[in-house]
Amino acid sequence: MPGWKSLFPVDLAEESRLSRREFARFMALVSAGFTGGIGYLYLRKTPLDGAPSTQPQSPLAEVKVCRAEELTPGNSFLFTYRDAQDRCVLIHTPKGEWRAYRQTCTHLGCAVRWDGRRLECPCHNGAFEVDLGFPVQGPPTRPLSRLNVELRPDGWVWVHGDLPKPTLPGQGSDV
Amino acid sequence: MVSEEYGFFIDPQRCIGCRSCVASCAECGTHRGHSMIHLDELDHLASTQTGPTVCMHCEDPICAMSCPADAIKRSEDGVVHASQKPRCIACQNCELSCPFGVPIVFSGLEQMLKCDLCYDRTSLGQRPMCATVCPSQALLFAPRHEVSAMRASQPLRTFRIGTLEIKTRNAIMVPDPETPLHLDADLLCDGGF
Repeated sequence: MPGWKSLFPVDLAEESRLSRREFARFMALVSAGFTGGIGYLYLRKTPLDGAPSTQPQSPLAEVKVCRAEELTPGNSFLFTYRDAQDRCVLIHTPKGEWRAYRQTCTHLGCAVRWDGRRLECPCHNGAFEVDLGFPVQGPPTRPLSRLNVELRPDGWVWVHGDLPKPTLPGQGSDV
Repeated sequence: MVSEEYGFFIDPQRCIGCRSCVASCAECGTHRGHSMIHLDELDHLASTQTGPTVCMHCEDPICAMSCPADAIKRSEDGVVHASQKPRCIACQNCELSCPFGVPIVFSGLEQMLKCDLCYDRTSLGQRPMCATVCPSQALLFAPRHEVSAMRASQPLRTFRIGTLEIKTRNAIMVPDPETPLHLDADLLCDGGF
């Protein structure tokens, strides 16, 4: 028997080709599976492992940074805010005001540093003014993330605020 | 599924040419208005003899083997079905290849339809439409073992047409079934092929 005859059998029982109805049934079952899976995830309400969390970890975290008299006007003090990776900088401006910013440049995530007048990023020569954290030089286009500073009566400087979770380099929209 | 025990027997000697089979076939719901039966006048100048032609349901269906679109299929009970609508391309290969001249390509439908032994009825244990209406029982659907006792002529299921030997599910009643019916195709054409 020639080979092609086994592909086109006369007998209905030997026919193994996928019929239109079988294909439609397969597609319907797969679609129903996807729909049911999405519905299950929606009802489950908890995101899968590895999905970025939408909840701020501790929205009202407070950090005791340093004593006010330790930081004279024109100087800065580095601290971490929420965890060891979230580096921030507390600034006592020459005018005597207190500012706190996340130490992450909004361009590509390098650490900014206080040069006595403004915050500078050494990587691409960007700079931010100290009053509101807005970019004044170089590639950054967005202001630094800002924290609130509070001087408590006991002489300690406290920092609190609702920072978004830091984005890793290349993951966010910093480019 | 049509019972193996039941056979379809065609006896042209009993045909009276009433065309009841043609009319009843056309009333079937699966192909309403189209009859699958040919009623032939064998020699209308010399004789009133007529003969009904329904599909013989060959064991090696030539129509199916000649179909380029793989549209003609045989179910496991040996019934060769009409072409599948999504596949049939109305090429008329089956019309030309069938030694009995059974398949018809309906030009309005662009599809080949043929006798499928009234599969909607016979698979449920009923008789085909034509066999229920035939007044002389020239078309008979009956258990195989009863037929020999009912009739003087006997069923013949092997035919030779030219060099081709054909075995069929349906039978034609002939006086002498021992001799296969041999049609010499050369005799049918002037001067031969």
